[in-house]
Amino acid sequence: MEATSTDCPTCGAELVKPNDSSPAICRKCAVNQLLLAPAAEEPTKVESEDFELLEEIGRGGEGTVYLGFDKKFNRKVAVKIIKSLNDLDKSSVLRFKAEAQAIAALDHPHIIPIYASGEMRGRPYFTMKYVNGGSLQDKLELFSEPREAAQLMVAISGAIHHAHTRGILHRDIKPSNILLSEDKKPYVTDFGLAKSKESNSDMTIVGMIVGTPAYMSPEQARGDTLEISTRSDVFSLGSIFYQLLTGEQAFKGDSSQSTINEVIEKEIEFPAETNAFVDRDLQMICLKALQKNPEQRYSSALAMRYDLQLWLEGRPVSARPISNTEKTVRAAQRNPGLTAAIATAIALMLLGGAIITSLYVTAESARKRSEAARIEAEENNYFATVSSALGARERSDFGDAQRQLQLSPAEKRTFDWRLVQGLSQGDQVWTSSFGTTGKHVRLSYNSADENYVLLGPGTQLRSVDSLTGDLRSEGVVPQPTKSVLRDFQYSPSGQNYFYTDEEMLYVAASGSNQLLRSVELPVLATAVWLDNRRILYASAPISAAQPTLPRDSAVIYDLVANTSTPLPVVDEWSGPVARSTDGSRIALMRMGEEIVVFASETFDFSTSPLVTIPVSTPVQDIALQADGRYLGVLSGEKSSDARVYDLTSGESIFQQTWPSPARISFCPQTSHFILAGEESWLTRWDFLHGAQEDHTFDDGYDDAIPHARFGPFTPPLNLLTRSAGRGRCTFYFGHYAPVMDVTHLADENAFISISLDGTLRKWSNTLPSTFALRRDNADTTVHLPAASANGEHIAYQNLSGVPEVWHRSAALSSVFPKGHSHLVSLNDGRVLTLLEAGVYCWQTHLGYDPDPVWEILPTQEMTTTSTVLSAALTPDESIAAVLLHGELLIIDIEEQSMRRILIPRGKPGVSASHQLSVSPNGQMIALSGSQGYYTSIFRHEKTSDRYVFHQLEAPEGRSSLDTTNIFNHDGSQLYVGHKDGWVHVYDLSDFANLEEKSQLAWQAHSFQITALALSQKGDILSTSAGQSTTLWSTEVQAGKPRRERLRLKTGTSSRNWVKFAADDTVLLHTAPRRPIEAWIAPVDPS
Amino acid sequence: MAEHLETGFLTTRWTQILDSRATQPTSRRDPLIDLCERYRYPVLAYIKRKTRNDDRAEDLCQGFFQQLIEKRLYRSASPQRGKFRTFLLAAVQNYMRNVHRDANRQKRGGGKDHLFLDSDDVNDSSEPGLSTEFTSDQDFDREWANAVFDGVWNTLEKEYDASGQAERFQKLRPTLTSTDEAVPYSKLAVDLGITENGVKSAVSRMRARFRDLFQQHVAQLVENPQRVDEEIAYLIEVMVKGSR
Repeated sequence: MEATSTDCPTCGAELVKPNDSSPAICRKCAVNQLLLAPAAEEPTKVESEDFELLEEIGRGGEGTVYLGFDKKFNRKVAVKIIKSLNDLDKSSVLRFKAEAQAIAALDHPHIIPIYASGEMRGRPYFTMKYVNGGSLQDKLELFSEPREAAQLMVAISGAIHHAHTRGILHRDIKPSNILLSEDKKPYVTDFGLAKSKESNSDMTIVGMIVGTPAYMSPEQARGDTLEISTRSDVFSLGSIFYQLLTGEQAFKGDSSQSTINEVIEKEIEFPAETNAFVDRDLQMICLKALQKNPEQRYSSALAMRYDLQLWLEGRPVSARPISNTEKTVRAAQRNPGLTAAIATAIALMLLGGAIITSLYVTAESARKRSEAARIEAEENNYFATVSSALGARERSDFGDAQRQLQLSPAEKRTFDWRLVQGLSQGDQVWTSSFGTTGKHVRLSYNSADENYVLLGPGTQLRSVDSLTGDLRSEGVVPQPTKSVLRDFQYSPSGQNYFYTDEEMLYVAASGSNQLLRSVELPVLATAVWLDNRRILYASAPISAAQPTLPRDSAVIYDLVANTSTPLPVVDEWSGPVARSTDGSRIALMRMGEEIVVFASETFDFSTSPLVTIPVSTPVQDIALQADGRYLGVLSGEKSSDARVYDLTSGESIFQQTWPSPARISFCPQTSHFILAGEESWLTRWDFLHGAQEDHTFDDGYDDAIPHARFGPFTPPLNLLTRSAGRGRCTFYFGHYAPVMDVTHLADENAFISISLDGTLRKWSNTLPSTFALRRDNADTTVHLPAASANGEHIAYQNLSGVPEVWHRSAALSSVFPKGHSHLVSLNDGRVLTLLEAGVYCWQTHLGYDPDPVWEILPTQEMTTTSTVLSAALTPDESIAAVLLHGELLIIDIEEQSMRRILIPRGKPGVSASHQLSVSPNGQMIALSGSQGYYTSIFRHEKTSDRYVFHQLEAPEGRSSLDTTNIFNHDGSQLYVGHKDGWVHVYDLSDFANLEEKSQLAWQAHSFQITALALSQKGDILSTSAGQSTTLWSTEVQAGKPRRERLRLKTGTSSRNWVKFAADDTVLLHTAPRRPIEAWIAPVDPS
Repeated sequence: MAEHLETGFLTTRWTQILDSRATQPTSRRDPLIDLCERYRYPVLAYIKRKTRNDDRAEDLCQGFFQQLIEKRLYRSASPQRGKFRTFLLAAVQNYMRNVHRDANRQKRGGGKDHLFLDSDDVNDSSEPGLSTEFTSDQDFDREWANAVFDGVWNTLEKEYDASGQAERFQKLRPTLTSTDEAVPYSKLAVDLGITENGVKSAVSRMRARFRDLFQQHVAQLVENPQRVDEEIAYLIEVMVKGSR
């Protein structure tokens, strides 16, 4: 645009002519007038097809709320419309939409539900339930009784906890955001400041104060957005509670600023000083919620709710320690009989000392009760902490999750804690800062001392501890390089290293740093160690258009003999070169247009290569995967193409265009590779599964790493950013300046990168394996899954009905011949299958066809079809039980023998069962899931060597049918899941009176239990129903309700499959049309 | 002066233009050429910023579009193409990298160190006439937003011309950029021979039409319809922030 000499008189911006004929205009004013000014129409006059607006009933920061009439359903609704087009700036529209999304994610009786959302004349709106009792702000006096106040707070804190578990922080809890129905039922509303779990898109900025001063937490008041957590909402709950108890706001300055100052600094007066009716415990609950230091508050809204409930029930609260006498008195108050006992005891004590024992017993029992209450409160706090840590993690707030987890006592930490802890580990292991690193830096791993070593800039050599990131030593290379560094690599043993510049190859001893050799190089050579004594180097082509390669372009240099041997066919070779970590394959370029891979131990280059891959030029980098099966190539003249070739077929199995990658590195353990380049991030791709993703990432990196655009010097707040959610295969790792090199470790699932931002960073590669997936596309049906106890070999029938075994760590699968049905998977990779009536045992190998090991052929013709309904294995892998239509197979794996039990067709409830489990000793088999009948058990009788059959009756008080079952660890109990969401525990110690002994039951879910699983340690039972899997302690105190430890979202499904594996470090889950997920709970290092 | 040869509207989404080109021989009036010409200025601004040499920038810009059109570079674009803006920016960044690499290749033989074009982390304040608070990417986006704005403005004008209301557009034009008070409606009513209320609704219609056109225009340049609003908000943001 042409600038004119004048500036806009209104705003001072430059005036420009949008075309030749037009006079000069001010674009900024035009934008203000045309795109930002409010539309002429008043929204109240607007009618939508679905509803009509009646009157304005409220105004918030983002939107105006109207009373509307829903014409479709003939009811009143609340309609929230974004305030005016004046607010058509990105953040408020996004915030408005985020609010609708936040509410839509919630489903709680005390949260206003959302009905619909849409746009009206370009303005976003959504409709909600209309509650007509006004807000708490106007009805505070209704709850001035402490008991009423506590009850109200129980409801509200329950609602807030629900939001927290869905990964949503409210951040603006205050009386005017609590609506009341006519019958005083509270509803939390106005999630306009809610921070959704996509916290990367948090629409607030650091330093910006969000919330309402009088009710906000000190961290909010300070504008410390990074510190805002579930505890901030707890503080706001405390503020409301304080106001209910005292009738006064806890913080009330003359101005917003003075209120903010009070929130940050002022110690509040005790509620009891204002209202004498406030009980000390209630006061403590209120004060604990209002602690200035978030760490000292309740860890979650749930913990606060529990305490309020305890108070309502007249039990000791966790909010403060209480004295022993008080405990006794309190216990006595709850228990009139005990009171009498104490009174009697005291009376008798006056008579003589003989009664002291009796008093002691009474006090002891009271102490035990109080102790039990304390333990219970602690447990509640523990569960609440873990669950809110999970909430934090779902907001991708790894730091908060970790902080919360650290608060829970070490002795209570079990599987659930470890699981959340594992999920909450960010990818970054450590950062080592060097200040400026320079552009020419290369990284190599020295296996001798397990250090990462950086060469460059210039002659600098720096060793960094691979475990801690600490700088171990600094020095310089023995021979200064004259020009730009090209390659730098330690020998496989770590004994020596080489480095090259554009003219020379230098070899030095690692320990003494003595120069051993220097060899003249062809132009622009790249080099790689073939083994500990030989280095292969080849000249790098500049481009296909410049075939100015010298002769003898690839040479093997022998360090010991000090000889250089040109490769047999001269004149054909050029760089780059790559070697697989196991040393089995070497790849190099020929004729500047194809990559050839040799696969022999001695690398006999006179033989024909294993595979030849034509590539487009120029090639920037190549890499071989650890075992040499896959080749990665970065190439292309104009665009940068990353491809992965499967060398068994020679075909390209993955291709992605990416701006300017310069280095590629394969993860040795999984099917991921990392690209690094001039851009400021690393990306990780899953080459086996990524190509199948139909929507891996959106239009570009600017969304993934916003700071890369707007502030090259602002370090990312969140060092891991991912453009895609769980299950996707692209992860972005943030440096904030171009990345110069990246490398993986062979024996540790981690990689390391060095960047111009002056840091060397180590990243854990384990996060995606937390969600390691077989496939994520909807057309994959995992049928009849089975996993080995170590969690490594997961067998299932694929969509084509062919059995496959997926080897989890390797992310490779073995496919069985068609017609076989898989039965069980063993730890060593053996798999049993069924074909017609025969049982076959196979040994699987990573990614290759399985080999047959043994087979059991049927001795007589099978009378039924051989469709496998269910199969199970004893923990010692000695016995497998298989349920077919009308038939049970019991396979003795050690003896390689099989026993068939025909189920008489007429046997009611048995022939139609579809789920089976086997007791740990293999002596009992339980069948569930038949229509109209309860679980049945086959029990082996040693004396007669026969299986005795028991059909369970409906347990007392239960009429809902059984769906699934599982034996406990020692076979003394059978857990049975019911259609109505209940779980029933049968005591198998007295087989004759099963039903009578089976009084333990609880409702785990509100609908059908689809799967039960027991941890290998036996301490945790998981129940699955619908979209959730819940973990429970198996230990339960008689008369106490079972408490859920943790609820995990596992996606929509009708039939779940869950299994604990690998010493309870892995929880596997899948369901029809769902990927297999492995939830990792790493062992707590402490 | 920027060359806005055609200011008519795209009727198809940008990705469809690319896709149809990939399968059909190009016609004389290639819609992609139109598209590129309209967004030549943002590209030029970006390259100028990178090279700090106006003459060289013009050449490079020419070369870029030539390559884009002739070599069909868009075919190598990621299959998840989103916004034309980010696509074009990525393409020009890539192009500049290649230029830079070629330049370095020629220099490598001489044993010299790499010559890096200036990057965004270099303080650009030495360049006269350029805002120091923006990176070259932001320059690109701001010029982009301006180009979109001008395109819409011109289309609006053309529409009024086409319907024989050129005079009305010229008279009402000042109301597009200023507040209601600045241009007395009473005077406009006399000028146009209509009532004051008539002026009010004519202004309102004109503004509404501008908004519609803006929305439509951006929609053609964004693959995912759900992200149109977000893109509009972004463009407004950079325009308001960026106009000096």
